[in-house]
Amino acid sequence: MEIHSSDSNDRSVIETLVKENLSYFQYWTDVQLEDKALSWRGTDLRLVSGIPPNKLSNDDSEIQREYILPVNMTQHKEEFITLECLDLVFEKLCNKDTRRIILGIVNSDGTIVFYSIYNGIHKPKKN
Amino acid sequence: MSKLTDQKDLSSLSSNHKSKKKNGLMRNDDNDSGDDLVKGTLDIEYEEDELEKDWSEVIKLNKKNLQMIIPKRGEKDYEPDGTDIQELLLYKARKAMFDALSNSVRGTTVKHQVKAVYDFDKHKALVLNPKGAFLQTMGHITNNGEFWLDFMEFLYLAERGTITPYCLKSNSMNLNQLLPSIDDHNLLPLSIEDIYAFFKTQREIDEFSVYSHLKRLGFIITKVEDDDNDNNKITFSPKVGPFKSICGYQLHSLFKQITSLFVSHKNNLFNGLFYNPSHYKYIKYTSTPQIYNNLKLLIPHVEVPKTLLELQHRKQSYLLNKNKNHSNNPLKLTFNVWKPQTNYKKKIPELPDYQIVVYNKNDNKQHFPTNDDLKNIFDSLNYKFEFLDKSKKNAGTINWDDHSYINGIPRSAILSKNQKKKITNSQSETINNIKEEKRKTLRKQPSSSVSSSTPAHIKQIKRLKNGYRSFILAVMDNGIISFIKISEADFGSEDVWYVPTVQAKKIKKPQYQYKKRNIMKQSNTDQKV
Amino acid sequence: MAKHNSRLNNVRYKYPLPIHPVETTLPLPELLPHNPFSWIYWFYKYYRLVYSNNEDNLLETKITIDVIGGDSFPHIMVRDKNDMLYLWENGFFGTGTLSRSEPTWYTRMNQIVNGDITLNTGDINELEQITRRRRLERLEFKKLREKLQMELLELKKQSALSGSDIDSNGGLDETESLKRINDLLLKQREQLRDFKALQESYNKQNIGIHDNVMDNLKFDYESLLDENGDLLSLESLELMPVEATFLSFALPVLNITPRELFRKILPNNDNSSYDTVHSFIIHYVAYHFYRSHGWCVRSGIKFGCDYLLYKRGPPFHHAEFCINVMDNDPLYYRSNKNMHDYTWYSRISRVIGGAKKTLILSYVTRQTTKKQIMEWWIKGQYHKVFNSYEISEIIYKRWVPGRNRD
Repeated sequence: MEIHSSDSNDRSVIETLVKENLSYFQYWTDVQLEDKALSWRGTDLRLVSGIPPNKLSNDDSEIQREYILPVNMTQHKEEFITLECLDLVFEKLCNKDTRRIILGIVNSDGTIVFYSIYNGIHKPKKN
Repeated sequence: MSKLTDQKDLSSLSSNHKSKKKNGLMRNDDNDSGDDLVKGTLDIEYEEDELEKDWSEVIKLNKKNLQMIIPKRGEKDYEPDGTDIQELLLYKARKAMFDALSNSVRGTTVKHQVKAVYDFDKHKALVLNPKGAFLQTMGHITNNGEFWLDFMEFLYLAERGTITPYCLKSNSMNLNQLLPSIDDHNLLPLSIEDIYAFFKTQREIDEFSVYSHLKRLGFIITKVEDDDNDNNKITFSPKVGPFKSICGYQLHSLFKQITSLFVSHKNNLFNGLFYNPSHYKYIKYTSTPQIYNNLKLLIPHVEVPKTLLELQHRKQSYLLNKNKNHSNNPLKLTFNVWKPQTNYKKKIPELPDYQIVVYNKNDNKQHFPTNDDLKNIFDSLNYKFEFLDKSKKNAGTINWDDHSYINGIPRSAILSKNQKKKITNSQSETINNIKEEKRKTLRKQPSSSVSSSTPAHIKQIKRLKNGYRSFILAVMDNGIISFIKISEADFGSEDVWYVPTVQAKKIKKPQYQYKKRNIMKQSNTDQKV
Repeated sequence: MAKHNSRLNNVRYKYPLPIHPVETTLPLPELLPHNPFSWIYWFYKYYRLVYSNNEDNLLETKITIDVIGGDSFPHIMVRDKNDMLYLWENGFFGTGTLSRSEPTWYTRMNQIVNGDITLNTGDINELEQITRRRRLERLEFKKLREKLQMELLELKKQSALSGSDIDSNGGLDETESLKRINDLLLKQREQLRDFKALQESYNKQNIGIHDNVMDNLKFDYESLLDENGDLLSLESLELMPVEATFLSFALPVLNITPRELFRKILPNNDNSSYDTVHSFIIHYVAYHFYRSHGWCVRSGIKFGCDYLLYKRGPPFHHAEFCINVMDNDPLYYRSNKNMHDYTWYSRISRVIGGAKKTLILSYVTRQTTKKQIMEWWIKGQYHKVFNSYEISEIIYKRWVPGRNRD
């Protein structure tokens, strides 16, 4: 019982860290925790969403709401996020037309790195 | 059995000359250097000799038969844009490449033909009438005057067209018997594919790939022979009598063990005190380096050999213990490599510039060297330790001829002996003189010869960046070779903490701090005006 | 300009460690080894100067940390604004959670809220501003390039080829088209190069580039203020577990004992087995080793390695070395799972080589039994634990034969 509560506490910690980073450091607006949850390996995954100050990719036609999946670096290294997990995230937590989500990897040194994940094959961006 | 797998690898080997795939779309043959504008700067520095050639220019070179540098290609298109123009450019570029290859002249004139006959038993090739520039750096002459090529040399020269490869027509024939007057009736010409089929192991194929790659770049290469105790080989560490060596080196290491035991014991007592927070009540530190000096006693580190004397000790104890700790790691030194040079002496070569270990990343029996494997390789090294040169820069670079030996005799002595063969009397004198000189330099060595020009902190950074003993690891991955330089580092012997200059120290005093800051600001505005 | 900065930095960062030497009001007399009298005099002075006042090296009040995220993913936060600044200025410990490294969020935001600066005219020397500037420059450059590429494509499409058969030698049309395309290409390259140069010169003259994005930013500043209208302090300084350990075990400035800290940051530490502490120990051993030889050691996550080594600290030098801690424990590396293959080495070295840094592989070897380590660990004799690991290092560098021929 206790393990579960501490687990969800860990989860809310990184969700908060990602939210704060987006709102106060990256100047995103309307950042919120989505309601929908997905149980993966005993953890409830939720997405954080928000509106970035500029287009994240030149291929986008306009600024749009982006969805971020917070994950801890140690988890990331232990291959917590699998292809199956991402499929479930796209299926259960996103809209039908969501093409990409962003992985927000929270490291233990005060930094968060963000990586885009596209659903299916995506043309590489020009350098 | 192994031949089957060998064959399979042929395709990758022969395309290995330029292993990079030509999947990029070519643009026009504009060789303007402006392409680095768009290209990421990341790899430019490294890729210089891997850059793909602009084949349309190669053709022109071929026709004029000029030795010129082939220009770089332009930038790549991002994607097919559906235009005919792009297709056309691509077609032209491709055609240029094929034309360049098909128009090149091959073969040798009969007058210059050099025949080499492969011997299945020896896995070597006999050169019938040796002539050509390759004699200076390749092959060896037996006591009865025969000129033999190692298998790799044989294949390499055959691929280049320098020699024409043959074998004997029948297995029952014996090369030695036929030798005095071998004639073409007994010889069967070999194709390059035939020779590739003679490889004995995958390892040999890997080694050949590395060999031919470096050879084409102009390096001089020999195989590292197994017997380190061979007196006839050049070494920086002459063999000493068994008694002396055992006493010297075993005692040395015993002494080290005892002192290290003592030191670590003392450190533990000391650390117990330092890492108890209440000790700050009794001990006060008046400078930051005092604190650092205490902090750094906690973690022990491996000190690496830095002087010629230390290097020789390591090598000797390696040779003594070699048979004992025979590690099961197949990785060992494969090649000696010399930079391209004209005065290479095949019989008495100087110490090599680099030593190479060949490693196949896809062979399950091999693994990337562990720390212990690396130590073993470092101890077995026998080359011109370039960091010794650097440490002595201002004192004049180290003369390796005085510090490398064949049969215990310095190479410089052998060279001068060869030169003045007539004046036989002075020989021993020269050797003695050189020995004396050697002793002097060896004694001087450990104290770091401080040069006046380079500031100490720059030298320190250089030491940290370059490290000490090093070798080159050649990694084979299905025909693609990557070279890595692996060097010993020793950060534990260097301290880099900041020691405030006198000026900065003065600012320290709290009561003056405010004023000082004001003064500084003033002087700064002065400077600006 | 640079000189001015470096002087100020020398004042601001005069202590490389958070434990300061005791301030002596007068300099100590010179100690002459051959003169016994100078010894006596020196000790007398030393006693007078150092022990006559009650000051010692420790901080008056220790720094409080807040560990969040549970023992599986601990995040160690320093919340107090002065403490954050202290740890940054005295050895560059920790990273501001809303900044690139130094916790500057409050200062930056305060300037914006007070209307002193806007986001794009702010002090150009702030790291965050530089990053933003470079990003904008790249964006502008890409826009121009995109435009030019469209022009080129138009021309290519217009250029009719003489025949549908691409194989034919082509007439004047083809040669002419190729020539026109080539000319345009050369012109465009020139254009792009000039644009780059222009950006570069703006950069040098410190001319701001206009950031439309930031102008249109609908940022809700109100939410950042408390009831008195003052800016809330939302940023924390996060310490890596090894940093917190150093600041508790080696230089006690944190208000927590090492034992307590380990209980919070290491998983399942109550029923300790060696496996639960092994990875932490070898990483701390490496961290302490480089710190104690004077390096400023910071996270290497940006370059895919464990640590970056700075001389003095980030404001003074670029990091020239990347450290990767190598587990040299025979029990671990012999098993295939923990043995890296060449691809791993290649990956890490290419990233670091691309940043023109030197990769150091730092092998950490245990010198005593696991049982002995755990005995000491449970007793809290951490200095004996860390003292039982040895470091040996190699430099791993790509070697290009063509560049090493003479």
